[in-house]
Amino acid sequence: MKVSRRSFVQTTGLAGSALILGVRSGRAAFPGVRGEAADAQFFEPNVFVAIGEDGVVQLTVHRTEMGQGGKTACCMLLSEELDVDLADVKVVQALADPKYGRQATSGSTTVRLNWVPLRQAGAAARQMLVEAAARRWSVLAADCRTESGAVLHGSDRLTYGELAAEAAELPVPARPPLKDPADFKLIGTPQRLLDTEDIVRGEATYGYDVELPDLLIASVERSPVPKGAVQSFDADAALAVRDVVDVVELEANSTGLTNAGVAVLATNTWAAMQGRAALGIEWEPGPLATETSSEWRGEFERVASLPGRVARAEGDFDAAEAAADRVIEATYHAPYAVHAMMEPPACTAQVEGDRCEVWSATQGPQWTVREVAGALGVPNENVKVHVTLVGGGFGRKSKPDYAVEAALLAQKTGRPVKVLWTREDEIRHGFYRAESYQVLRATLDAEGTPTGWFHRTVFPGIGWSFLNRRSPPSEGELTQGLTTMPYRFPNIRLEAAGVPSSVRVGWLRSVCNTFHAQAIQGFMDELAHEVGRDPFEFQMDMLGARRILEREDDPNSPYPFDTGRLRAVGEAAAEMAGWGRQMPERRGLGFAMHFSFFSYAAMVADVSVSDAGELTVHQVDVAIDCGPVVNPDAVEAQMQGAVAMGLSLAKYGKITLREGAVEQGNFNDYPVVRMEEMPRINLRIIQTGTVPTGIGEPGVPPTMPAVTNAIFAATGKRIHNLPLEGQDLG
Amino acid sequence: MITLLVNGERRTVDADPAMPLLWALRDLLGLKGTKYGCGAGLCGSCTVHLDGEPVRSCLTTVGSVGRKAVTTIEGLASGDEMHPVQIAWFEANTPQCGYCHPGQIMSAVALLERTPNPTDDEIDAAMSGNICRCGTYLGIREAIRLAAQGSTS
Repeated sequence: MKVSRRSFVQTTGLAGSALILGVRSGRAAFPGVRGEAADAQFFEPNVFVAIGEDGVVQLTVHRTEMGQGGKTACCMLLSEELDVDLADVKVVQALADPKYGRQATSGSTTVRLNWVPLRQAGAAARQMLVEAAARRWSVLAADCRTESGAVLHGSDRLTYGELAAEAAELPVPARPPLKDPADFKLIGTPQRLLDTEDIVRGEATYGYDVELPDLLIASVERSPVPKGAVQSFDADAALAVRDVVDVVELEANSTGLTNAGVAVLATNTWAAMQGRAALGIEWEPGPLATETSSEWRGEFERVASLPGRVARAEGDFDAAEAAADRVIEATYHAPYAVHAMMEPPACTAQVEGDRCEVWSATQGPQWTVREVAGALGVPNENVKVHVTLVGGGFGRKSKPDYAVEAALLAQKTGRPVKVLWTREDEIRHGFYRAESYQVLRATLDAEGTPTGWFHRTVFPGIGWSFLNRRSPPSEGELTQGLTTMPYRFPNIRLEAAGVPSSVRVGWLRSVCNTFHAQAIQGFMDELAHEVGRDPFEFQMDMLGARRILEREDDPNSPYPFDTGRLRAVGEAAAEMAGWGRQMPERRGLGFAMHFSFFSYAAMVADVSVSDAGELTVHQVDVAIDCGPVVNPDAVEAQMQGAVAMGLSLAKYGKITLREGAVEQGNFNDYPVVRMEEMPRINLRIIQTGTVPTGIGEPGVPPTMPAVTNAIFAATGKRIHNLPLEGQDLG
Repeated sequence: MITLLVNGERRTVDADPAMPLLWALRDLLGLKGTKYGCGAGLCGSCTVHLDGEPVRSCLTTVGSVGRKAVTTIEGLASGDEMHPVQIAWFEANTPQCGYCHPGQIMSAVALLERTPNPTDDEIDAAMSGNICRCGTYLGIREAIRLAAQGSTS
């Protein structure tokens, strides 16, 4: 069989997008405002859609593609309402620009937040094209229809290209009507990610692959501990390495985004790495060279023994505890974890005078603009940021620290510079998923009925990384699993407390949901066992009748927590797995479910543990409700990916510190799941309601507790600490 | 000067013989399909073929290649026509971010050359050295099965 080159979707590479977008500045601000400088040859009703008289339909994607399928989803939303075939459109990647609205590809928001705006953008263009055709034919617009890039009326047919010039003269409708979902032709159909052919040919351009004339490659040795400083280094030794061109010291920036370091610049990567190895830097460790993980555990325990800030309280837990017949308590611990996406951070920058152009593998192009502009001391408007394909992000590439490094080095050397992080750099200089320690208590009356639930979570908040101070967990971090605890205990107290951290804390796929789900779903399983109930049935009982948990911060949210939807995914996963069936010796099923990023996910893991303690995860049955689905293939991929990542966190995910410095460095000491460890996955997608919610992240949180609860079912061993590696399961 | 046979063409590079083949391909020959992932032979992203055998180009010095034929991801297709394994990857809709997939495909091509109809265990054994953090392992297995079926029909 032959798949011909570029036979599917024309995608435009970096040079192309720079060219097109560079020429076509001055597009209208979305939504619905006429552009000031519309090109005569182009119909551009908004910043996302442009149609030329040549008939080329160009869609602009303002979100980053890093594997979750956001770029493809954006094009599907636009194409559906515009009524063009996905195979016929030309796709360009947007530069960073506030005119697109939020460009940060994070928080599982791409489909959720663009569901209406991008369909409106497509619908506005379509309505204008129809109006143009109706005028040409002197018929009613309502009597015209559209199909595959053309307007039709009876036997008359005009392509969008033929109508573009006339449509461009019409007013842009502010609130164009959207299709009835029953009429969707594209949304809800499985679609291949747009970059697939380039990827399998090895022709996709990631941040690591950007090439410019006269380019220098930089490899940076950074302070092992944040806020450390360079004492001395041997620049001459680095410069003596063949092909090394320059050595530049970098200061830490004041926000804590970048650390002190020394960059070696060379005409090739190997030389830059060799030069860097020759630097012999002496470090001043700085004030944070204190935390050693094995000892720091005591600080977590100390803080967890003290009252925390009350994040949610119902009834009177203290009274329930005083009156309880039994109190069950457990503590859960999970260490720092790092992203280890396959492409380490990479960014290229070129500075000319007070202008800077950046090509970055980034999830946060607009933040990149601000930080680069700030670092160079130039206005935001002088910084142009191109977004490359991103070789995995998982939250790490939201941070623009490596772009700041590239921009400063380009400014200092006067040449374009590509900063390439090594794997060790990525593991040791990350923004980590917080270490956490949690205390949970449940009270039971004499009949064994649960009367109270207490949960105190202790972890360093993400704010620490940016506010330059000890930051307690934020409200947002607590809504990630802690305060959204859905069970009907009459007395509830949820508390939170922070501890300082020697490393920067950041977002890692699903963020605090990973450890909160681990603790809550693990503890619910323990409670079920304590009261002699089936864990799944106990969970369903405690969930109770359907109710809506409104968000205090946003009572009118279109995404309320509907416990009925959580129940539905729970029941689906249990049914798929044949929950309750007899399992062989040392084999068990584990159930877990979790609400995050406004989506509902439930899993049943089927595991066995050999007498020697070797864990095998045979199968995971997954049910997900993320509302109406745009691309079911992407949903399936995200659930598989979430299970793989959750399994990696459960089995191996551990970053430890020695005097503030990360001890791990590569896949030998920070292992991740490999092919032979991947379980079979069965997926059921439940589509409830009319608004899509997150899909990139919600699958991770239930994975760890489903596996550890299954280990308990198989072995009777309760897992309170992650990762599993190093624990005796035999 | 070091002469290499890369994707059927004789190419000359001016490099320290200790430079890993990975960086010679990427930086000196402009073949950026071969990816850096770990620099230590742990992840497989940099997999290329030497005389058809899969090797980690991050651990293979450019000076050690000699007369062996180097094949990279760019050398698999015949012009517009992709290699059957690339087509299988495309048909199975395998990649997510895709960064590790050139290395995955190179390992899979080598597997299928040796073992046209691999069992799941043989697939696991051959692909175990290639990490995918997006978790596309099931899609990779599916693509390899698809390519294997194609090769037998």
